[in-house]
Amino acid sequence: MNLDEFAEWCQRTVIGHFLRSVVWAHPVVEILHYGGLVLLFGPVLIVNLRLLGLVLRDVSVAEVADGVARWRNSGLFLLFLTGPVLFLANAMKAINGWLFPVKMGLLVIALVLQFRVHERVTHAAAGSVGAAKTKAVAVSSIALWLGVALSGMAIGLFD
Amino acid sequence: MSLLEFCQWLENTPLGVEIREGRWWFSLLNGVHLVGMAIAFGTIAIVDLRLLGRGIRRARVSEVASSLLPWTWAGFAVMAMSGTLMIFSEAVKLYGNLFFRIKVALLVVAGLNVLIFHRTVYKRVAAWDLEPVPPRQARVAGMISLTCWFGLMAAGRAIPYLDQ
Repeated sequence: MNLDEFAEWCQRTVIGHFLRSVVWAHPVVEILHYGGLVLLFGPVLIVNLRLLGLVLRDVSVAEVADGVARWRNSGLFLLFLTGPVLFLANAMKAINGWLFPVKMGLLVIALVLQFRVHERVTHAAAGSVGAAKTKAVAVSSIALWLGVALSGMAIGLFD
Repeated sequence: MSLLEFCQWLENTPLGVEIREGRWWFSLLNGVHLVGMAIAFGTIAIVDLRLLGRGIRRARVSEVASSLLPWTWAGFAVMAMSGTLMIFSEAVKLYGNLFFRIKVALLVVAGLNVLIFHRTVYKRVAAWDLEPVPPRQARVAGMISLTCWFGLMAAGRAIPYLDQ
């Protein structure tokens, strides 16, 4: 089975077919995907702005990070639940364009940064991670997640 | 001039025509609108969660609210500008679109909610600033805000599906 046949098969699965044929099924899943995006990005943004020293200076970085971790994880859960469903319905479009591979690439980098590097920086003892490195991690985290969101949105916009 | 006539005029301004007929304008504005939403809605969600006694519970309510407010406004300004430009390009279509009308109504409700919150229970914030779970009226305001913003996003996403 080649990639095109695989994509066609995806769209014929029960879920893929359901989203393509039932009115409003697609936008509802898409809206849930956007809800997940906000749940993920709000916490990510706050922690990064705190790392940059721009908000909540009276609260420790670890306290901010721990306070929102659950919500970030709920957002990720919702995204990982709805993302594959959207893929099944739009598989042909996804595999024939360059945006989907870009999004997946950025997603992998963003996830590695989030759960390998970011976790360590937010829970490091004060002053043990250099200011320059902390700022670089914060800025690249915001940029990467926005990149994932924008490339994802673009898949829906262009045919 | 009726509202519909106003929409027709908007669409036919050079700006409206350019955005509608240009190859990239509309997609670009969509992207900018998404970034604005991520910043505005993201920060609002954190403040609302604090009002509901969730999220960053150990921080003062007033500190969470005041230090995130400039970011919320910045995101909102980006959304308002990109949103207005998109309205220019398809005003007549939006005029008749149910979800666009819902979106405008929710925007009004969200605005009133913030206004009432700041003029009532938030005036006495010093009394409950450090409490992990704020008083009932503050929790209700947080819940209304979250619901409105989710509704705004959902209605916005649904607008193009009604045109098809």
